[in-house]
Amino acid sequence: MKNILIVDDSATSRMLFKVNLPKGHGYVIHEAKDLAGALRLAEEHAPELIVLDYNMPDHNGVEVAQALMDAGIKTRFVLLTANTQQSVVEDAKALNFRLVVEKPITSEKIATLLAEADG
Amino acid sequence: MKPETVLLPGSDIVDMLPLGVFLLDESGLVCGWNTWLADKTGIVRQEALGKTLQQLYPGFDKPRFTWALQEVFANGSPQILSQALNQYLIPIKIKVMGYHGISLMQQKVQISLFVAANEARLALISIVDVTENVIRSQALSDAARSLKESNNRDALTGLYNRRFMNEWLDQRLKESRSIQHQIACLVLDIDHFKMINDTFGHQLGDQVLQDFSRLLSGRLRECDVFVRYGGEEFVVLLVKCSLAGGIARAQELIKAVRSTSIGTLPAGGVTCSAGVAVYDPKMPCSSEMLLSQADAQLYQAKRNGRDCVFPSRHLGSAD
Amino acid sequence: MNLTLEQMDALSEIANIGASKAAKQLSLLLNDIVEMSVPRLTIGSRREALDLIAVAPQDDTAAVFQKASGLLNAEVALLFHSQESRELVQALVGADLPLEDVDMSAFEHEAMTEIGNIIVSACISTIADLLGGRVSLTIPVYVEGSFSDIWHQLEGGDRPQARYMLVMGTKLSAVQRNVNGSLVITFSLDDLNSLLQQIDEWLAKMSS
Repeated sequence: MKNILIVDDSATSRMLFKVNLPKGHGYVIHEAKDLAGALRLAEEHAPELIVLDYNMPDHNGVEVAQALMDAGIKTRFVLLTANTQQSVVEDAKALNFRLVVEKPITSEKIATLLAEADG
Repeated sequence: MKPETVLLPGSDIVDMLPLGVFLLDESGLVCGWNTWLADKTGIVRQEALGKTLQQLYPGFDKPRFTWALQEVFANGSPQILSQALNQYLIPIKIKVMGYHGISLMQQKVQISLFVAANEARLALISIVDVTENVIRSQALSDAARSLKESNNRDALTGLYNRRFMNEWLDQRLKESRSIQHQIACLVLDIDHFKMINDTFGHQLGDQVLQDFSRLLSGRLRECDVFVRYGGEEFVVLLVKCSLAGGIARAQELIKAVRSTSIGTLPAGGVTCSAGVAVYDPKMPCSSEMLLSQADAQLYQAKRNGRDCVFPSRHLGSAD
Repeated sequence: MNLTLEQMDALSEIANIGASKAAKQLSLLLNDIVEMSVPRLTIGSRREALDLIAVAPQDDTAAVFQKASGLLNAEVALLFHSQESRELVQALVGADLPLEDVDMSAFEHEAMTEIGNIIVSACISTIADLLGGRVSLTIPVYVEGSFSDIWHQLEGGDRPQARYMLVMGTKLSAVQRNVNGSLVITFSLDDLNSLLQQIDEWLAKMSS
């Protein structure tokens, strides 16, 4: 059973993510809204993929990924953001994010994202 | 595939307007191109119709314009492309070249949604030539800037004046606290200047001041500030410079003065004394204190017989 | 005015996406890193909104006005602190001396109009995209004046219906300058309820 963890402070955004997943996708989706929750769920479920929103109140998505990596979480990371400026993309690349997906999310973008989880 | 040529209502009027008007369809193909544009670009309507801007201008790549078109087609949201931030949309060489370095027409652009009679959604792009305004604005800016500059300068020598120095120094001291580097302050005073003036006259005295200023200016870095502080008193401010560096520079400067003919007096006829102090961000002080420290050193130099630097060398830990 | 948690969350997400898109477009235009955050989002009556915007009445304000119609029927205004926006534009336009006693030239007004245009366009089109409809906007108009003058223009018109305002505080950072502003969307009660209803429908569609 494959696990995906989505970290986003916005419930609407997390819902948008789930709604765009293809029917019968077979993943277990875990949701966190901050670093603390992300850490807990990542340790508990060892997801194959962690999807992070960039714009979050306390730490941005790249910082959260760094913190997770520092805590020993080893998995694939994907960044979700409407702000796909070069500086943001470069920050993500520097931390080895697999993919940067531009918000708002669509079913086509989800397909690319899921390929990362399976790949 | 050629798009339907759209007949703009009032096309005759559009062709008389003193601005550029063209239409693009959702694939980016030109569907309308007015006479003003044909005249200015040298591209006639027949040549432009059915082509993209990239085809008409190879290398055309403007992300702001691309997004603007998206917004217009998706939502009818009108878009403004200011000259200030975009300079121009279509590269059009202007005939009077090179004034203020502008060789291409400066343009103010507006894009709106136009729904044609056949319900085709088109982007209506208008281009206004604002080159003259830009040139005039730059000329005004330059004039204002040079007026401000002249307020900061000493008329006789062209060096910065005391007023400028006070503002500049306060700013640099503030910066040096965050960047953490030292600033050396040299106060120089032309020896026996009053006597030179009395003996040889004010005209020669002025020439001495000018030659002195020119001579030393040439030996300073771009970032250093050279100020005429008083009648025959000068201040040199060296950024990112230690006390040892300041002393070395001062020695060099007074040596240059001593060995050059200044104001038609033979070499050695004019000498100067220098006092050196340094601002250390680890032990911050005010600009007044810095100057008075350097001044106290200058006083020692005078007492020591003039034509010398105080302190003469840096004692203590190496920099 | 009390919105449900879900409605506020949805509006916040819309605001964040809008601001991010605007930041990206601005960074492409200005060729520099641009950050735009939305520290504050509230909906309230005119009076409540005035308290939130917290600008002193005599402060110089620069504003870009547009009217929206379609999925969203409202007046949209982007308000900036004049001095901050002037410093930003001067930094962008390359004026290396802040000429304090010279009025911002027409070019600088134009630049602010375009920046406002980009921000409003990005936010409004996000609303339209997500809620699945179209919003038409009028051509942006730039105005500068004291905050109270601008405020009167916002309140403007003789519509007797109660007016509600969505205030989105924004902080724009570019070329080492910060500009604090507010996106203010002014609705009649009916139009605001219409928007909230569309948000509810959208959320309902998603969770089914």
